[in-house]
Amino acid sequence: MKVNEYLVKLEDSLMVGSGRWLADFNESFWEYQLGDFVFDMFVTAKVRPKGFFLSRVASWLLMPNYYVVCLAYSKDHEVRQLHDLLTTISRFLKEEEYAWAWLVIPHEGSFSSKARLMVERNDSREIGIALVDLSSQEIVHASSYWGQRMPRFIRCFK
Amino acid sequence: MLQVRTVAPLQVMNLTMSLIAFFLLTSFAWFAAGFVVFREIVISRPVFGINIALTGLLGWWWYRAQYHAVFSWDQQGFELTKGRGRKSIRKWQDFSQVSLVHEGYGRFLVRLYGDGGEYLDIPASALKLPPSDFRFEVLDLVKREQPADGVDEPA
Repeated sequence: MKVNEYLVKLEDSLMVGSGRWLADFNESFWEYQLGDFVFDMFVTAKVRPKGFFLSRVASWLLMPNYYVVCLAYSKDHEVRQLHDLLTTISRFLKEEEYAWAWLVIPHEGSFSSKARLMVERNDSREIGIALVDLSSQEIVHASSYWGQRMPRFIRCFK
Repeated sequence: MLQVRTVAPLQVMNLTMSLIAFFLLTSFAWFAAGFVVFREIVISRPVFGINIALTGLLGWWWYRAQYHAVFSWDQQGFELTKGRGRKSIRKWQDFSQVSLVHEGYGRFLVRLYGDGGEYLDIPASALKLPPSDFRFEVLDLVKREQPADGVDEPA
């Protein structure tokens, strides 16, 4: 599977698939410039869901209203720029008052053991990271709370 | 030679909603008029027939006035008409960013952002255009029409 093919499926999964159980991912940008990076995909969401009248009232009363984002970046499969990427995303979260972010790094091949270790050991509270090997369909994710929740929503290979 | 494409599909869901709304409205009007004039709710086949005909006319008129969209585009720009009298004629180069927006219930828009942050929506689902593919096409057109970095515009 090619990276773009996977990203289209990921976008679809977030906007109209299983992602809806997590947040209302409603706007998607491709080739989105953030700081010094151009992300392949940038999908924003509000946690408060839409719906008909009663659902809206219920979500307005019960759900917090904060923004989240899922970013995909395929140009660094060696994960050499991970620190800079995380700094850029953290700055964006603070400036735009987003609550958390997912960073998906897809690649048509396996990741180095160093890259896997770096991601697995990452315990950022507000950013979940996952490496997606499109050839073997393996997902390596960060040990943080948001990292652990990622595989269910980003496993969209079919 | 520039190839102009035009789409203007019938939006079945919006037309149905218009027809249902006007059927309920005209039915209520008949019942109210009957009650005022005869002191009873008159239900008869001729009244029902007239009600259906009126619903068809008003529903179609409302759909054309509010929802019907016509979209034409080529490599340089596009023309979008929503309902009656809401026409936008723009060039792709007026925009710098493109996004795909999910309105809910599987309805998608392609949103075009200008440099000042203002935006214009193209209702891809209502126009029966494949949203994701159409977004990529628009993205290409917008990028192609952007002036290249470091190249001065001719005076």
